[in-house]
Amino acid sequence: MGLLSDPEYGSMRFIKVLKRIHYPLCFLFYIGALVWFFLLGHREFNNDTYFSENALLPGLVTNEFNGEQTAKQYHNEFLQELEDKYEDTDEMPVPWLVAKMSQLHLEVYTHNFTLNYPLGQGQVFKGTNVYGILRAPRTSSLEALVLTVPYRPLSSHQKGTTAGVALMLAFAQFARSKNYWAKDIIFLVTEHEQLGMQAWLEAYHGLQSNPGTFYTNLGSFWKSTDSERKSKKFGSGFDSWLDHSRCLDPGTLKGRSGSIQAAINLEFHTPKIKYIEVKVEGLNGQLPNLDLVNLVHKLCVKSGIYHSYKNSYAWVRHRNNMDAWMNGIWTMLGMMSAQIAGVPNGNHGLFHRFGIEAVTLEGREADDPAGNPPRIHQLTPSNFYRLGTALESIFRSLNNLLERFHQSYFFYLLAATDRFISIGQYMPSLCLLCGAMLIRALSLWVSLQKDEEPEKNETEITDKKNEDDDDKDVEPKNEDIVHEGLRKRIVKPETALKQDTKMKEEKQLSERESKKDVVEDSISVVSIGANYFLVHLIGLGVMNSPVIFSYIGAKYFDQPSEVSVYYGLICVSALIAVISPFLLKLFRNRPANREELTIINILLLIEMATLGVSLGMHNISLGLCVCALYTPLALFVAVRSKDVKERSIVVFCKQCLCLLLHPLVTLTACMMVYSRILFPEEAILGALSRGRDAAMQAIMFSIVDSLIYGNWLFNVATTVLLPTWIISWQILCNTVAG
Amino acid sequence: MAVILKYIVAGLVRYWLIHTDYWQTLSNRVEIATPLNSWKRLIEGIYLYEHKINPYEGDSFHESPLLLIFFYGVLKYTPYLLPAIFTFMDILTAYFLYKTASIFVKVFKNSQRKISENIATDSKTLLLSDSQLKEVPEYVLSVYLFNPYSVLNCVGMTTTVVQNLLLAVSLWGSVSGHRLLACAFIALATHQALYPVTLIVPLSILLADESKGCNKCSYIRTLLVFVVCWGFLVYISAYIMDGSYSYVYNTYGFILNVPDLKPNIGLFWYFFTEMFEHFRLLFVCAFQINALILYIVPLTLRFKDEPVLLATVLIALSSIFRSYPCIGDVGFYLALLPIWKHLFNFMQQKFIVGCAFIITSALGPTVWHLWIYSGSANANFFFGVTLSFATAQIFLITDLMFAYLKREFTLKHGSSRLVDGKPAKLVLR
Repeated sequence: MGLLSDPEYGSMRFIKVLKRIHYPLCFLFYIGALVWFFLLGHREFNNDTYFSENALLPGLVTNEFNGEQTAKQYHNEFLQELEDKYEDTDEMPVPWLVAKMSQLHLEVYTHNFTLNYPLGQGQVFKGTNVYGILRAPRTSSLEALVLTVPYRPLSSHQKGTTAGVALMLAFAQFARSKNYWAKDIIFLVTEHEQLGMQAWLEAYHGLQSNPGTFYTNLGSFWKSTDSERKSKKFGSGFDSWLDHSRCLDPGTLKGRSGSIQAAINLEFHTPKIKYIEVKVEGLNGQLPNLDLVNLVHKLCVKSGIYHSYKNSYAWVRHRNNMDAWMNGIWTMLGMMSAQIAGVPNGNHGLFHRFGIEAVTLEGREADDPAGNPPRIHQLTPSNFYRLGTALESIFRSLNNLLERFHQSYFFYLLAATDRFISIGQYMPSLCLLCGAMLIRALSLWVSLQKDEEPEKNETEITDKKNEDDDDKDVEPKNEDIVHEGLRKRIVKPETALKQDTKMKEEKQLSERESKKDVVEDSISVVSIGANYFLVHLIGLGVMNSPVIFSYIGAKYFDQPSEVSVYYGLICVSALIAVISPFLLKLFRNRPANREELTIINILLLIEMATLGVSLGMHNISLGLCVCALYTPLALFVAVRSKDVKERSIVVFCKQCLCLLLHPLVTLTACMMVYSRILFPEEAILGALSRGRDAAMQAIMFSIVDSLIYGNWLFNVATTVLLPTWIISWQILCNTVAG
Repeated sequence: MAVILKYIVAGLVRYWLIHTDYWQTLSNRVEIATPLNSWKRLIEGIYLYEHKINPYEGDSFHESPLLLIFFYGVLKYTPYLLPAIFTFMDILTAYFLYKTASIFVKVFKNSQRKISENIATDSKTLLLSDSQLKEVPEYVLSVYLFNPYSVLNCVGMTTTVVQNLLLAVSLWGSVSGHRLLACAFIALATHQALYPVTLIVPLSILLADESKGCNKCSYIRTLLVFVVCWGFLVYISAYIMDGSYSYVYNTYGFILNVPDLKPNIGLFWYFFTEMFEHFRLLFVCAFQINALILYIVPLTLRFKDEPVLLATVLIALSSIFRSYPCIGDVGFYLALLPIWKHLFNFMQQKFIVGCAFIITSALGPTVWHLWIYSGSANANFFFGVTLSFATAQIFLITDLMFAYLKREFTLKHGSSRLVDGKPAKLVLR
């Protein structure tokens, strides 16, 4: 049994091999991860989608949808209403919607919500959602399905959703008369895009923004009020800073239904769309169950609607494998780019947080800004009838569900509308990246353990000779033992005392031991720990700083908050970059030595690997992206010693790489490159400033998203990514003696 | 001075964390609070007790009646002191561990002097110098005070804080030779969580070593005192519950029979959710034998010369294999490891174990969130992570034991491992 026997036995050879080949090995892992990832686009390496949940019974019913005329009528009426009364305002035609839904004998409610904008100077936004519940005739409102449409005013720069509203109402009228519904259907029109959706969901699930303190938890045992006030005071200094929980006040819902099983979000601006884009990416990169995605695609086919996902268009047949492969890769990359930011690309994305499966169907025309698919003009445009039958099929299929979606995959990448890559297939790619970092950490650890200092001081030739000698010594012995398969307990080792080799080894060992003691003494755990703690504290501070920046910016410089936050973050980053190398010198009376820096380096690598794996579990795109960017940095970071002259150009390059990979710099650079690609005709300076503006916006969005919706990209970037960057910077900027 | 500063900082951190908004989240985490030790259930039991309902009739409360009475009194009269009491108990635990370690160091020095003639000449460097030994108690203290596991355990206000205190006091009592104290506290700990009963073996060895009289008499005396104490506690508890022994089913019975399969970091819940009902008894017995009895005899035979190591290993094993483990238990035995700092050089799997601890500690909450809140992952993910956490702990323990043997061997026979000119392989038997 390997665990209970001496593992040191025969491990010297392994260590030597590891030390020699760990760099190529890490490189190989990195390349392997990328190759693996791109292979996944190929048909041989991904799978056909299939229905895992048998209860769905997709497409087994005869379609009865007959609301085409009604839908047209609703559409015209709605457009008329908007043009007449809501031409200039952003308000939602609440009375009209309520009236129409009431006419259909739905239970109609309105829902008010308020947003206290977290980074502004007390701006308040208000909004209203309208929803109607169709009670299932068969059961007692224990489960529900949701059909939702975001309301967009005519003045909005986005495509309208009028056809979606009309289709929803027509479908409501159709569904009203049927007696086979086993789940309530909630028809919901939300205002202010995702804000209304988020508020409605929070109100529906009765989310409490105040978790209560220890004392409130004591219940009836806690009576005295004055000491409560005292305890309140204790944390009040921090409360005002860290209190972002109350920026969205979801209000309360007057009418509820059961637990929501699935939701479909419609974004149709006209019935004459060419094709439907199925959007799946949700908050923090969460995805709906693959069964639902699959269901939508399959039923689109059945109803004669063209459908697509990112770069993959269902009506396009690829001539050869290579084309299909490239297309698969582009589709995967498209999905990943949508997932990375963790921002939902439709209202469906907010449902996922509550464990509700949801997708968005977006109608697109030939001249859609999102892209120009091949042979688009040959497609016959869709109409309300087809859309209605598709919707009917989807809802009747969902109606069959016996339990929540749980069967199929929740973690996947789509390579086409009908091809997917499961978690088991893409995880090796991520694990290889993290494995590279762990191997590097292991080799550093090993070099720390078996510190062969004397060899380093000698010239390379003797070094090599020694190694060869040792190899020769070790190899035959191992083989002997392996052949014999011996497990010897040593009884009288003194018999072998006089052998030369042994003497030599002995001396080395005792030398090593004594050296190790010295080494252990010289490592200051406290300073390493304090440095780590401080660096993460800085990250935490940066996470909470935007509110302060925005306040300062507005008060003293009269700048909008995105500008003040962006420049505030830049100032802080610059400050950190200057100061952080000196942090290592705190808490100690001598400069850090090689062992300490190596340990810091090992910890850095392990933290990076842990971060990669954990991120990848939540959001594979972000995990892969972070790992692919930061693995090279983590591998290149090495402790520099004063004595061994490293070429200054190499060091400079490493430092440049490190600076370039600072989260803020990376973001800005990416945005600049992106805007350069997007607007190639513009002058370079213009593209740069455009990129800077985009970066400002991106940072602002991520902060606001993290405050309102619970998107954790900004939090992870500041509390984990930034500290790891600081530590790499520290290691790169410090030199050690010896 | 530095020591006092450590106590103060650690105490303030704990006290402050209890008062933040995260307290609620922390005290409900599965990794921290189990059905056995959670603060929520304690409050529930006390509430029932206050309203003259027997808390053991339901299925919510499984703490011992002694703790029920104790916390009932505290809650009734001084509820505002509770955070301070928990913090203080944890600090006290650290203090007793510190004391234990410093006494152990003295004992260790003596025994090292005693065996110094039998040591091979080339292994003299392995003997520990005074300065090295002096650091040990401080390491123990720091590890207990600043280990995130024990900090979180204290902040979650679980009854494991009390358990750790009892264990620490009994360890200190036995190392310093206070038989009654050690036995009384180990009986208290046993009364609370049952698994510490295994510790009576290393404790009686320690006490016998200390008393230097007839070994057998000492063993018997220790055992007797322990049994009397335990019996007394059982009786007192019944007295508190108005003479009824029914609480036994809901405390010991609950621990042994594992009826509550709420996920935790242990190995029981997953197996028993999958188990057919009629095999349950068989597997419960198998699992409990593994946790309670299996390792005592072989380990005692092998490590009877080093009872503190035996105690460390038994505490660790029982906190890995017990039915409702939590990270508070892990934090406690991790704090005992620095006592064996001199063995670290002989340990082989430090890196693997360290990586596994870090990665599983980050991944566990991640997959838990994905499973429970996002509804996208499932139980297998979480169990996979907890299983690797348990594996890492087992690696750590076996590695520690093996390191001890290797050091012992090296001391006796010198650092070379050659038999007839060939390297030989050591096997743990």
